[in-house]
Amino acid sequence: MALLSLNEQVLIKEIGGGFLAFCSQSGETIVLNPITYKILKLLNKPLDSSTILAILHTEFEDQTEQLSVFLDSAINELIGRGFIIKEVAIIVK
Amino acid sequence: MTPILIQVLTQPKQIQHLSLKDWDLLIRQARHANLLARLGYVLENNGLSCDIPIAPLRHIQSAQTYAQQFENTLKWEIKCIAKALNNLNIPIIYLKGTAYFILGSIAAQGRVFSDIDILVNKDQLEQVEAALRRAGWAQHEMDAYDQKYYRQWMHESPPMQHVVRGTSIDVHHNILPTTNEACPDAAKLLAQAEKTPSLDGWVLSTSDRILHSACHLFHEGELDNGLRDLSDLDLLLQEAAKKDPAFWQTILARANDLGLQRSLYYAMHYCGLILKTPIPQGIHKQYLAFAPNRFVLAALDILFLKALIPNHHTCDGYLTKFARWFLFVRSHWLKMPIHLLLPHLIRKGLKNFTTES
Amino acid sequence: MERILLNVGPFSINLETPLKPVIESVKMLYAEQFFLTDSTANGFFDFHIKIDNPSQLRRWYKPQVQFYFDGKLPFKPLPFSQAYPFFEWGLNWCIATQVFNYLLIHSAVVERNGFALILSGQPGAGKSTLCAALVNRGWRLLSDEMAVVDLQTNWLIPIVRPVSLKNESIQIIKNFAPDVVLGESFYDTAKGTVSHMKPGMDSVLKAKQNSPCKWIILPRFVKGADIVLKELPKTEAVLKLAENSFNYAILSSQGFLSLCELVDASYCYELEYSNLDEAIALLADLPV
Repeated sequence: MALLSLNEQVLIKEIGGGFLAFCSQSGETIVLNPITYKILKLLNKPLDSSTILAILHTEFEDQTEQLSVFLDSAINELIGRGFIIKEVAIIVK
Repeated sequence: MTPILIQVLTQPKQIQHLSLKDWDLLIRQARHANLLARLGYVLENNGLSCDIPIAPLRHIQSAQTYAQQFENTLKWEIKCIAKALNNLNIPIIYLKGTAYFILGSIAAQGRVFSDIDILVNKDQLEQVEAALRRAGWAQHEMDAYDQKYYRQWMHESPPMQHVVRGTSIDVHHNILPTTNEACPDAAKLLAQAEKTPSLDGWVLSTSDRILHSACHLFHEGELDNGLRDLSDLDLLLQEAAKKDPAFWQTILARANDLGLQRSLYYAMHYCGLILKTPIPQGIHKQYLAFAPNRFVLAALDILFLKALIPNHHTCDGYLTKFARWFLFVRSHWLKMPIHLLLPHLIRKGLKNFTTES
Repeated sequence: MERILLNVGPFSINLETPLKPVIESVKMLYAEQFFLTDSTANGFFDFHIKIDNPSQLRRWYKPQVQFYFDGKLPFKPLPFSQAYPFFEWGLNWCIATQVFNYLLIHSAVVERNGFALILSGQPGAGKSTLCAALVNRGWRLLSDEMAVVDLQTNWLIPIVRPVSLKNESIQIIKNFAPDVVLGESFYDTAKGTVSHMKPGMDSVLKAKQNSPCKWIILPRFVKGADIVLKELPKTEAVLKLAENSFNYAILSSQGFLSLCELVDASYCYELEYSNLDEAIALLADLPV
């Protein structure tokens, strides 16, 4: 299972009640909605996507139906723009 | 008189005695020579940052900020290239500026450039290009003649540009055009390539990187950045000599092996002459054996000593433009034998003529 | 060849030109306080600019003018009649492409009661017109072309240069403030007709006073529309200003943090207007 983690070169700022993130590696600035904000915050330590989904389920209970679809596309987008990094987990036996 | 930029690059301590008027000239020459950020690093590495007055410091810092952002972009681009080519499972060898950056070489400090150059085995050229195309790089449309020019004679494929990011990549299968007499055996270059600890890439061996830089500068005739490229060689030679006491012998032997003796000679000769690169006495005697005959050398000295100065109007003598032009023509002469070159130039000339009218 | 030494905002400029129209416009539109001499200048200039004919031939046949950035030619030549605006555009280009020790945002900046207002928008949004009107009604001009943000303090640095008015705006401002000093009109430029307004004495005398930003406004001139001032979410404001910045991408994290702080400390709005008096009355009542 691939582990996801926040790129070290990402800055997150709360401003006027909203959230912004900047990735100095790709040079992209994006507005975060509450769910993407939560995803980035969780990824301060490496997690796999099913763990993230489980946590999101408890926090955004009213939206559980669409969460898994949203999570997949959000993660792809965030990887493509350099905000999160996909690591291949090393299995220690 | 020696341009102030070259004076400061060879003796950085001089800046302690400069007036603001001198600084004005120094910054202007450095900017047009694409050496402004590097000038800052040279002064920093010599513990002279505190001796830079605020007015010129703002320009040096601006250039360094630009160079740092360039490094960010470069790192991101290398990741994108690696991702695009990962599945091929073949070594991708980064050349020149990208290699210096990956290795953390001192020659990467403040060096900004436009294309990423990679080297692959000629047999793998096609699949590398195809993989890049799948990941969003595209070649400009080109007529059949230009296609043939690249495919048959050049050491690289037609340049590719990423359709979204606008970044460029040149895929090489050798370091000189195959039509060039001095073109080395690419297999020998590949055989000594080294895997880098960071960023999952490959680079040429230390000697080969320097020989490549030398043959690029002294064969390819693009002298707008001539002094910058000479400064690269100066830094690379000094860095290599510091790391490995046997370096000088290694590079002499390697130049013999690859048939690039003449390029190495020019690199050492002009680095020593212009940038005062310290080259050990014993080595000096050995590389003299690689020199051209003294008439050719006298002529080239006149030309290169004019062309390898800052590309700034305060450094231009009445022969500077001619020297750069003549060396450009010479580079074409070296690129291919006359029976190929003449028809090529005539064709290009006709095409420019018809598109202009 | 005449040498004109100028000090505009944080920059010093060495302008060389033999061309009378350029010399006359510069001397008319830049305040005399901003001219340096060899004895008052320190010998270092940020930008060396020359405006001249591209060749001897072009002096007589279809005359043209060329902009030299320290001997280099970043642009194609323009018709001779556009020599002075070419200097202004070229200087903008020099700053925008060479300066990375300030955050630079394409916008007009004015100040009142110690607080700065940034008017930012795409060309044609009416920011120069509104800026020219405001500085004729008690606001001080910091800049018409770019906000220069000090990266240490996040305060705005004045760069008091002629305000560039385009097309209908020229007549609008003439009617609005009959006393303004306007330079020559230049017709058929890439931006249509262009004329420059000389900054007032108040702005000139305070040209060394930086100001903290309090308001960020994205104006839009809409003919006949009722005036509307709408709050702009701060995250949107950051994205808009980043888009209008000349060097945000180069400043990287530093630019992002500076811009966030600037926006966080300011009220942000979108403004739709058609009548200058209405707009000025509304902006006088902005919260502090």
